[in-house]
Amino acid sequence: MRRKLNVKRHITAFILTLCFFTIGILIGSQLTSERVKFLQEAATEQAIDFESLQAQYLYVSFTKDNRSCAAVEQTFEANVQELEDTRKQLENFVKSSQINEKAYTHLKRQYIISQVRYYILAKSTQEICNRDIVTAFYFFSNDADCADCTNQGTVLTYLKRVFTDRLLIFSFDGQFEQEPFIPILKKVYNVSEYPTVAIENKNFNGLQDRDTLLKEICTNFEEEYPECEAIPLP
Amino acid sequence: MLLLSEIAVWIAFLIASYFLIFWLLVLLDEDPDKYTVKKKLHSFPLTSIVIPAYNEEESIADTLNSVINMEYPKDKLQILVINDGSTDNTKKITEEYINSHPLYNIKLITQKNKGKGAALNAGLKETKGEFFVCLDADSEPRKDTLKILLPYFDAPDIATVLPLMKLKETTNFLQKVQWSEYLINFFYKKLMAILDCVHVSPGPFSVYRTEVLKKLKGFDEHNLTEDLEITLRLQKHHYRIVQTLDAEVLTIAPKKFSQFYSQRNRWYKGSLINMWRYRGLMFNKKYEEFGMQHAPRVMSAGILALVLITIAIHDLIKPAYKYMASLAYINFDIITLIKGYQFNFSFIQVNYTNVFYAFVIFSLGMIIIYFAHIYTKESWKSRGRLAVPAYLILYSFLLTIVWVGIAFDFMRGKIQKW
Repeated sequence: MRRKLNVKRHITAFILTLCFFTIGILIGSQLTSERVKFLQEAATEQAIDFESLQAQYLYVSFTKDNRSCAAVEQTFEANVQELEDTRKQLENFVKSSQINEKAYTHLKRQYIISQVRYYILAKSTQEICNRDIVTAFYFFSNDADCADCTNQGTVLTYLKRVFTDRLLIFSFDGQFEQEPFIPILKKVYNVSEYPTVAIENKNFNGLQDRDTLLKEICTNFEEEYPECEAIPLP
Repeated sequence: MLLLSEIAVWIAFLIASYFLIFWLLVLLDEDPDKYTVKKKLHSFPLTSIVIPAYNEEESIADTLNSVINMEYPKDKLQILVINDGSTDNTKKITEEYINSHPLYNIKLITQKNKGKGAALNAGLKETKGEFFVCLDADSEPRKDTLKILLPYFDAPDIATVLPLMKLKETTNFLQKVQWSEYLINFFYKKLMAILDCVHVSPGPFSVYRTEVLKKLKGFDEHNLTEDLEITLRLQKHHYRIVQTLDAEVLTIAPKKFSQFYSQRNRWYKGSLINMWRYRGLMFNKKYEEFGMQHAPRVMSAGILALVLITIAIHDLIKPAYKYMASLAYINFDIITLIKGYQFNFSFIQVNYTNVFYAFVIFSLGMIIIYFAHIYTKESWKSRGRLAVPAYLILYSFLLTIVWVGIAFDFMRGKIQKW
């Protein structure tokens, strides 16, 4: 005769499964708060790094001693890169739901403001250390319908590898209007679609290939660099 | 907002861990050894061994040797070889074998190629034995297999008794993966049989009561997996199927991936089609464990596999493809892109919830594997120390490819014949 259904065994299996499932959720939720703490600590450190950098430039300007410029510029580049890396980490945490919305909004605003501060510092100290740099603003969208944002990101990453610390790229999520700076920047740079790249004050709406941006970057340099030699400039 | 992929991972974890835990509880409650029938066979009923053969010239003689070498009176064995339209020397070799073994009751039936179901039915028509054994032409029972299996027919509602299938040879990693898989699956089937949940009686040496097969009008001749279909039909009619772990049959597993793919494509497609055909058994209390949990699980496993694969393709392969496509915008100058690349990793990035779930599934799975080797009496090292690790690493990947193929076949409406 067929064996009867053992309901008690099924209930036991269900309860044990639920226990394991709940432990997993609790681990995730505990780590969410750790992630927020981690990112907040990173933001605090970066704020201190920024103040230190500001002080370093003030010192150079005050003493008119350009010998420290190279070291200060290296620190500047490292700080901007770290800021960008942490921004990407933040976006990844949100994509994989490892951080809550409120914490994300707060942290993202901090990063956007930091990026703008670094941009202002870069521009105002350009003369102090006689830096031949080009700055670029990159406006992207995280929406699934910005198919070209991945492509533009790859092009800009490539150009960054080519020019290293001579090219400063500041990335902004154009949809993140919780930070008032975003609508201001979008108006200033006339952002009407994504992606948009603004090199110094020239605006490029839509996906731009490597050669177009390379040409524009090279045009804005004071000196001639080997990377620009192959490009016929106007 | 939770990603669809995150929800899918949770559902997959819940289902997988639930059934792993459930079967471990069955193992805790019911020692499989308790269900081993150690009775000796005192009388030897006439048994018909039906060997469907299609282009089996390489193995048919060995298979016949293994049958006549069984510890069973030759006058109580009826051996029927059904040549299902072979285009090689199967017929010639079988005829020569019969001529060289005149003391054995071996008959060759040749028919047009109609498939395994039809071949088995041709054998069933000629069967005089109380028991009908289906033996694949590439498989070999051990000497004592039949003697061990027959005493398990100790209740009138037991229609089928199944042996433990082991692989004859494991010459490459693919076969080693399958060796491990067979041991684990048959261990699971032993537990399933305790709860009357078996849903497939595989080809090599499944023993049936002839009268039950004839009552149910034999095998479905138009079915991809006639062995699965007959078992579901037996379940539908409330017959019981017993899985043993002490009677062994050696078989051959595919050596090449293309053969493995074809075999599994047919098996899993057949499983889905037949489970759908017998969907009336699902969630039907009349069928107790089989109806309430096993049949739905078998059906949903295939669907869940397809859903997870679709999500994996969307979440992993699609972004990778998008990135590769974006390299066209830098003229594929990957060298410059890699220059100055810094590997940034922090442990805080890891999704520890999913890591924990993977750890739970892995641990429960390892417990099953451990007991599978104990109860099937095969050391995990007996086919090399890398066999079990190869199974752990490669098995899901191999099955994923098969399921992707099945998904495409269903989309194209491609349901092949045996």
